[in-house]
Amino acid sequence: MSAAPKLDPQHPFLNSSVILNISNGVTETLQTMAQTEAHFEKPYVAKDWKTPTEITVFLELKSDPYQGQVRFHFDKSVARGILEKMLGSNVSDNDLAEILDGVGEISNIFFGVAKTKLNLIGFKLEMSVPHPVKSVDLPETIGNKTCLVIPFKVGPTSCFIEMILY
Amino acid sequence: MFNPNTKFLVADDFSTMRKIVKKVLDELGYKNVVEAVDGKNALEVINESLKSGQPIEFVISDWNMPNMQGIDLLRACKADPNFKSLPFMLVTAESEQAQILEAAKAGVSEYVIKPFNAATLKAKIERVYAKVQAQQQQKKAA
Repeated sequence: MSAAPKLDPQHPFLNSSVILNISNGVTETLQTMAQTEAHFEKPYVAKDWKTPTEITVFLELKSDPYQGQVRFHFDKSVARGILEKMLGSNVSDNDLAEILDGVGEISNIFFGVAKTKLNLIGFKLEMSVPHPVKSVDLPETIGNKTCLVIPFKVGPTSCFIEMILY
Repeated sequence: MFNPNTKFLVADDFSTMRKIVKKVLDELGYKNVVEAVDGKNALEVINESLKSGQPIEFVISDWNMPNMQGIDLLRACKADPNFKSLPFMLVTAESEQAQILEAAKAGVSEYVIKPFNAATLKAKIERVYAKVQAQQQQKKAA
């Protein structure tokens, strides 16, 4: 019998305020910048989880002495749809560079909104530079390979927030 | 509003945000817009534009950029007599009180917090215009 994946329950990032504020950052940003609704589902802990999506933006979570990483995973068609709404013009499905740039910027805003709210309640999160990549090109994580997955849907399509805690 | 030929500089490391800001400027009737990919590049563009006789007249800059951050670009402009009165707007996801105060202290004209919509950005540009007009009237009266 294998043990269920675990995260340290004392880790300060494994906190309902962190999860709620990151989720709210996504909701608020998508509504304001892209007139798009995100519907959140129940988070879960997973080990060796691999995203089924095509595009990911990762940012470092730093609040000395704690560290982690937050990853926003998007289906390519969702990412393109969000970008088209932000720009008010069509984006080619083949223009991966433009799609990555768009999700990089929107993820930067997701994080900025969450960071502001979390720092108001005592977290000391530092600003981080977003790295948009093809999901298959994601770097290996350090730590025990256990993460918190927060699924959300844009229309019928699943996207994910992944929190990796070092 | 400003003269439609007013020369704007939009500085952001993400082309998506530069396009969004340019689109809003276009809707407001401002077509004379140049771009920079980071703060260092923006400072080069500002200096080169002055040398070419077509100076930048309004800067809209992101805060969090590689090479030179928007706040450092703002400080560099305010420290240069040629650009001291250049209207400067920061568009940023940085919305903590300490950062807003830091920008105000550095002399920012307006501060737009991401996420924003086109109406917000338009209103902030108009507010900068009103401030510039008021400053010019004060100078005339003095």
